[in-house]
Amino acid sequence: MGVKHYIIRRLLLLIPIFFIVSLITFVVVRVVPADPLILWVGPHATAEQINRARIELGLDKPLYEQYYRYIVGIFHGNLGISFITHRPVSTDIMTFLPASLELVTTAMIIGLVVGLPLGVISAKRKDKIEDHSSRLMAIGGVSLPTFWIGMLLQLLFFKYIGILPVCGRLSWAVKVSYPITHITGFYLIDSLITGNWVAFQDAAAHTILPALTLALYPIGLVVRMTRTCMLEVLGEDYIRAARAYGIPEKVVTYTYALKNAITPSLTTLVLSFGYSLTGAFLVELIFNWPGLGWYASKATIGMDYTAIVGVTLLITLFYVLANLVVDVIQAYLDPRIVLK
Amino acid sequence: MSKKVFPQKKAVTKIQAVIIAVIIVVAVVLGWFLIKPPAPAEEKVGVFAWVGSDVWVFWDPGETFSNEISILNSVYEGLTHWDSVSKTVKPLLATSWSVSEDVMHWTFHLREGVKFHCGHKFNASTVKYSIERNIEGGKGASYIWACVDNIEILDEYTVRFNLQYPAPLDVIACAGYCSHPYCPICTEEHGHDWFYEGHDLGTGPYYVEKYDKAEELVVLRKFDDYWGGWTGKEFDKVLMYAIPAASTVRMMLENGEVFLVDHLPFEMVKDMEKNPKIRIQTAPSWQNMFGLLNTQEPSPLSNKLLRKAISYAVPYEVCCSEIRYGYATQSHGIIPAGILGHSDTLPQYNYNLTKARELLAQAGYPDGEDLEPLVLTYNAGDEDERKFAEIYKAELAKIGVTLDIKAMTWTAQMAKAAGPPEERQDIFLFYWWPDYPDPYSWMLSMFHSVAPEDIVFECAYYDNPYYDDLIDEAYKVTGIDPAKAQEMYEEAQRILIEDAAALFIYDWTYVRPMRVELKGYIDNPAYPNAFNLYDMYWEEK
Repeated sequence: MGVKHYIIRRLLLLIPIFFIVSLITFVVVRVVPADPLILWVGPHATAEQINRARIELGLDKPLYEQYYRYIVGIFHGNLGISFITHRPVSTDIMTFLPASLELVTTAMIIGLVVGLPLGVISAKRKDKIEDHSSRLMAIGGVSLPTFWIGMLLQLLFFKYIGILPVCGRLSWAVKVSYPITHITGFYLIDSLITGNWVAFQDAAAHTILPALTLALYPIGLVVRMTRTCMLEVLGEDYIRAARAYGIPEKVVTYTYALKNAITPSLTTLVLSFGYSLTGAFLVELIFNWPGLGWYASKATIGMDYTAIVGVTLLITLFYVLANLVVDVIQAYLDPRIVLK
Repeated sequence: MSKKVFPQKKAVTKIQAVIIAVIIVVAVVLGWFLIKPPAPAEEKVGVFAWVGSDVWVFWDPGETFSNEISILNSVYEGLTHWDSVSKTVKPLLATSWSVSEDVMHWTFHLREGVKFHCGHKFNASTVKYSIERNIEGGKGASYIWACVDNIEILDEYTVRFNLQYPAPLDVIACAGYCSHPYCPICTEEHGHDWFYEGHDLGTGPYYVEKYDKAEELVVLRKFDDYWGGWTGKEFDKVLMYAIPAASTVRMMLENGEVFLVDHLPFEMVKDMEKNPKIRIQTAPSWQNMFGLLNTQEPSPLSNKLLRKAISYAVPYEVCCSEIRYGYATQSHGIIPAGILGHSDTLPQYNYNLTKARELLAQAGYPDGEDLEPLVLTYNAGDEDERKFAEIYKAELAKIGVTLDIKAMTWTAQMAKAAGPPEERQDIFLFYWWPDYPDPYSWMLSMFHSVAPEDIVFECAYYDNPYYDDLIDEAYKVTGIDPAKAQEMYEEAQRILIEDAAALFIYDWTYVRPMRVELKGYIDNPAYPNAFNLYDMYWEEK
C-alpha cells in the first residue's frame, strides 16, 4: 500500500515538474536573440515571406500568449512543428526515440555485464595485475573522447578488417529486400519477433560498434563504483563472520557482498540512462544513428524552440521515471529503506 | 561438531548453465553464418551521399528552396533549362518560346507526350495550375514568379504568361526551385502534407520510391515512361544518403559503398588525391563568400575611407589557398564568372597594408587610434568563415585595427543584423548563390535599399537611389537587351566596389570526390549541388 501510494505521489509530482521545466525552457529559448523563422522559410526568403510566416505561426503574439498556446497544444497532444524538419515534433520524437532507446539500452546492458564482473575481480584482486588492468580500462573508457573511440573502431572493423558496417541501423539492401515490420521500433526486437533473421543479423551487426563505443563510459563507471563498494563491503564484520563460518568464497562474494555493493552502481547506471538519451549525439553523429541526441543538438544549434522544449520534456519524464525506478529498486534490495 | 551447510540457491545447476550457454552460443554462431545475406540485386544501383543532415526538407514542389534540389531536380523538370556549357537557356518541358517586344508577354510551346509519375498527362493547364498554386502559396522560392500577372492557356500545349513588368521569364523558368509543373489532379487529391511524407508528382527521369525520415535516406527509381527515354546505361535505382560525419562518408567512398559525395573537408580531399580509386572533379560555381560592411551610422564603417582601408587588409590569395586549399578565386565584384553581369575588368582590392594604413589615417584613425573594435559575425560551425575571421583579425591587427569575432548560430546572426542600428554588426560574413541564372538576386537581395523593418539579407544597409534604379532597370532589359543589361550590372558593381560596400572575398570552385568508375557527373552552377542522375552511369575499368 505504502509503495503504491509513494509511486502515485511521485507520478503526480510530474505535473508541476513538467509545468516548471516547460516554462523555463520556453522562456530561455524564446528570449535568446535569434529568429527561428529564418530556418522555417528557407535560405533566401523575402521579408514579406518571413512576416507572413510569423503571423501564421503566431510568433507575432506576446510571449505569454505563445506559451499559453503551446501548453494548450500539449494537452491536445500537439508539441508544435519543428522549424528545421517541418514535421510535428511528436512525430520526430517517435521517429528518433526508439533508435536512441535501443542503442542506449544495449550500451547499458554491455556496461552492466562487463562492468560488474570486472569491478568484482578488481576488488578481489586489489593491487594485482587484474586490478591495474581494469583500472586502466575504466579510466580509458571514461576519459577517452567517444568520437575518437568511435572513429578508431570504424577504421579497424570497417576499413581494415571489413567485418562490420560503418554506420546506420540497417544496410540498404536489407532495408529494401527484408523490411522490418515496426512493432516496438527496436530493430533487434522487431526483427526477432517477426522471425526476420536476415534483418536481425544486419541490425545486430550495425549495433555492435556504436553500442560498444557508447558502453565504454558506463563500463568505466560501473567498474570503479563496484570496486569501491565491494572493497568497503568486503571489509565489513558480517563478511568476516561469513568467511569464519566457512561459507564458500564465491557465495560470500557474489551473494552477500555484491548484493550490498551493487546498489550505487545500479543507481549511477540508471541515472546515466536519461543523460545518454540526448548525450550520445557524438556517437549518433559518427555512426549516422538516427537518434534523439543528434536531433536535440541540431535543434539547439538552430534555436528550433518547439523541438528543444519537446525533447526537454521527454528527457524530464525519463529522469523522473528513472529516479523512481532507482528508489523502488533500492527499497527492494535494501530492506532498511522504507518508501513513504 | 557437525559442519553447518548454508543453503545455496540452485535453480539452475552449473552443468545446466553451461549446457544452456553452449546451446545459445552455437545457435547464434550457426545462425550468423548460415543465414545468407540478401543476394545483390540485378538492377543497377547508384549510391550517393550528402555530408550533412536535414537535407531534404521542402518536399512540396511549390515550396522548394534549398538542398532538396540535389535529388528533386531529377524528379521534377522546368519549362526551360540552363545549359552550363553554352551558357544559354535550353528547352526542357517547353520546346520553344517567344517574347513580345515590350517583354511583357511570353508564350511557351509545350512538349507533347509527357506524363507525370502518377500517369496523368502534362499539358498547358498543369503549367497554369502549378505556377498559380506556387504564387498563391507564397512559400519557398515562389517569389521568382512575382512578375507574373496572369497565365493564359492558348491551346492544350501552348501557354502565355502576361507580366506586370518586363522580366526574363525564360531564365526564371530555368530556376531549380518552385519552377516545376506537377500534377494538379493528384495534388488536389493528396494535399500538401502528402508531399512531405516523401512523395512526388513530377515528370523527371526518376521518382521517389521511398523516403526514410529517420535515416535520411531517399530511394529513387527510374520512371519507365520518361519522355527522354533510356539508353540502358543509367541507374535503375538511386540511393541518396545524408550522413553528418564527413569521416564516415570518406570511409564509405574509399571502400566503394558510396559513388559520389557532395563535398568533403579539403584536408580529406587533398589526402584522397593520391587514391587511384577516387577522382576529384572540380568545376566553377556561382557561390561566393563576402563580408557585408555596415555602411550606416553608428557603425564606424559608415566612413567610406575606413571601409576601403579594411578592404586592402584582406589577404585574398592566402584566403583562396589556405581556407579553400586553392579551390576558389578572388572575386571580381559580386557576380561570379559564367553569368550575366560578371566582368574580369572590374577593379579588385588587393592585399596592400601600406595602402590600408594610408586610408586608415585619411579616415581619421592613424594606426587605428580611437577606433572601437569592429564586430564581425559569422555562422558558428562554418569552418571556412572561422578561418577567414581569424586570418583577417591577424591582418587587421597589423594596421592597428581590432576585430571582435562573434561566432553565432545562423538564426542569432540574422536577428542581430535585423536589430536596432546600435546593436548591429560591422562585418557580416555571408554566402550567396542565385535562385535562377540571373545576377539580379545578388544585386537586389543585399544592396538594394529597404525599409528597416524589411531588412533580411541587406546587411550592408546600403542606400543609394541611383544604384537601385540602375539594377531595377537592368533586370527589366535583360529579356530584350542582354548587352545593355551587362553594361548596367557592371556599372552597378563598380559603384559597390568604389563604395566598398562589401569585402569581395572569393568565388567557390566545386570539389566533388567520386569513384573513378562513375561517369557522366557534371556540375551545373545554375543548380547548386544538384546531382544530374539521368546522365550518370557506372563503368568498370
